[in-house]
Amino acid sequence: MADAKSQLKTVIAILVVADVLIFGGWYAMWSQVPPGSRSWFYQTSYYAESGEKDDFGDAKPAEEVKKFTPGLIDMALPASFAVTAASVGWLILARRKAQKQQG
Amino acid sequence: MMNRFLVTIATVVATLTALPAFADSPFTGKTGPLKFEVDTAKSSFAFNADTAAEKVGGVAKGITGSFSIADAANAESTTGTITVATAKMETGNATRDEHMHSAEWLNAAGHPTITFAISKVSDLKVAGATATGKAHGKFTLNGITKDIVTPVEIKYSAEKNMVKVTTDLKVPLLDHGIKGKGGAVGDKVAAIVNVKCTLFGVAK
Repeated sequence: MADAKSQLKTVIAILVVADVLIFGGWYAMWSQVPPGSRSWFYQTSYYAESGEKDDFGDAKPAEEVKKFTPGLIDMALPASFAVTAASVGWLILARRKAQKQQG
Repeated sequence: MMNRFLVTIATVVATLTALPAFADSPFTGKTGPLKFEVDTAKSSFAFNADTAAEKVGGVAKGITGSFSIADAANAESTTGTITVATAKMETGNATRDEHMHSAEWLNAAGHPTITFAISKVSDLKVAGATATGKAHGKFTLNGITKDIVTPVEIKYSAEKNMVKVTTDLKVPLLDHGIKGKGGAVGDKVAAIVNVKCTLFGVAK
């Protein structure tokens, strides 16, 4: 029983660390994109005004900025789901193995 | 003395009479026809549309085209054609771009270009080297051409002999036969796509 508790604690710790890394990493990169150009999906580039002036002294139109930004919906959430599924799967298998050994 | 006075009056009247010929145009000091070619590197065709998840924005690269002004003294005589390669419309997400170029959306394979042919400009208000008015023309998307009238701003730089044309287009996707996957247009994707077109033309 103590072993099962220990396994559960390990899984929770893995999930917490993994989610902090996944969502923290996603947010750190996503928040660097200007608010109007952010996306919930991955982007390899975005379009933002540079603040420079054009030949007529007006603000230049939005220009392409080549920078990879991970997506929350198509990258961070699936990654978190995969880690959760793998961890829970490992826990279930470990418990079944323990039950077999006891039996 | 009287003769000099009459000559002065005549000169003033002649000058004032001649002024309206240039009052309808930002092309101050220019006469006759003018032609400008779109500067592909500087020009921009930016679009955005609301979807169920978020507002999607992007640009079209490689805009080509030209403008002609039949009479520099009358900017309403502006005509021109702008062409955008459908496959060069990008949103920064390759998966989304692939969907956007597919037959269910913009159909880049079947209709490789989007064009806006300006036939005239009306309701011009000129202030110095800037004119605002309405551009009339035909907008072709997905092989379907529709007459449109859109606000336009024309700026001219005599120093650089360069023109800047800015227009905001509202493109109704359904009018151009674009329904989206499973009829998403008007449901999960806004039926109107906003396009901000900023074109720089260099004199030919």
